Amino acid sequence: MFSYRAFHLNVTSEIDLPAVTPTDIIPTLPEATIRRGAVPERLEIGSDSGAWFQVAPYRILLTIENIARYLIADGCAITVDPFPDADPEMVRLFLLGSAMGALLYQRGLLPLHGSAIETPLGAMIFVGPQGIGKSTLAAHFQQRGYRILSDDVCALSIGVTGRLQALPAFPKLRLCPDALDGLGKSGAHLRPARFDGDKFIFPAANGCCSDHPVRLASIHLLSASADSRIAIEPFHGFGRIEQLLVNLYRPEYLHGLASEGNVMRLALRVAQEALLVRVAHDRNPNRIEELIDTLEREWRQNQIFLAERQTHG
Amino acid sequence: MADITLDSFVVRAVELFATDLDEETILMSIEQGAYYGMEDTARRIWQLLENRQQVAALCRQLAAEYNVALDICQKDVLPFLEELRTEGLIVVE
Repeated sequence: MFSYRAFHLNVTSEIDLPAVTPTDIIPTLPEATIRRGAVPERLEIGSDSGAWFQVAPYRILLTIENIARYLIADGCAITVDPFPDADPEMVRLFLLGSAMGALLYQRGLLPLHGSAIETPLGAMIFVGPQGIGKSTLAAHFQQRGYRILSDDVCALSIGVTGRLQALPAFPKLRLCPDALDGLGKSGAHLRPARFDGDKFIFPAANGCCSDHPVRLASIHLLSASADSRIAIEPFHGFGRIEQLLVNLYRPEYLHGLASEGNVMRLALRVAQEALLVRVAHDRNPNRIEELIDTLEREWRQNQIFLAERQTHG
Repeated sequence: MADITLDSFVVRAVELFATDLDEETILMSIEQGAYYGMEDTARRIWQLLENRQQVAALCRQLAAEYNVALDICQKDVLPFLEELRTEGLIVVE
């Protein structure tokens, strides 16, 4: 058995997971266990969507053709049943993405599709459509000395003190080749992550990733701007919850889960307490430092506002 | 399904969890798995729907509260009630 830390959980796994933070401590009661085993083709109760996933109150079944079946149960157990001749790398990728996302929902956490960094003001999250530069931005922030909390999936939860927090995910970043050029690193030596076709696994250096939850500050919705200006504007009212829902990680898992109500309440709290802003930029890789300067300036200006929200929360 | 008329009786079908977000009220229905944003008048109508009543009476009260003509009020309220019914939030008899 291997032992890991991910999303502030002790995870023991029969499957070796190089992308996840290892830990020497083998917990007597792991919060999540990953095993190999037989997984049924269908759940007897649960939604009959006919899709690649099936949801019951305490179970989610995922079928990824030619890769594996995953059964995620009770928010603490993942069973992996690979198809014959499945690529083990692909089995891991869907395990850490789709299957782990299902487990997070079952535990009543709120997984967002985006990257996150740790700043002195709290966790800054970047969400937005595919290819808008979420990972690239996080990687550039890392170059400036910020620590990475997560890349693909950023999970939010309520901490022991009752505050909203972002949880550290895996110490890896997935970047497309263009983004790597901008960082002065060649993609040629990196192991390709076949999952996304043209993306590469870019291992973050030691100590560059947070290992503890960080209180939530802002959620940034990245979007493409029509001109070359960088525009930052906050969302108001219903738009806040709307934008949050659009950027959930695989929200289709949620309906029919026993934890649905808790996740919905958590989403509402996040919409109320976090600062939600649209960040429109022209996606020019040469101007990414300018974008970071702008964001840092914006955060300093909002410092008092953020502090107030957190006190009330 | 028959149209909602002034003679219909209406009442909430579900309890919604309400909270404020900036100037809007956000209502959450766990059963429907949905959030609804409501502004001032919509919020008032939802409040009044706590008790089963005839649409005509509901409109009379709203027309008085907002100081608008009864026929204008009815023209606004009926489609809103239809929306609420489509979302499964009210029962119509």
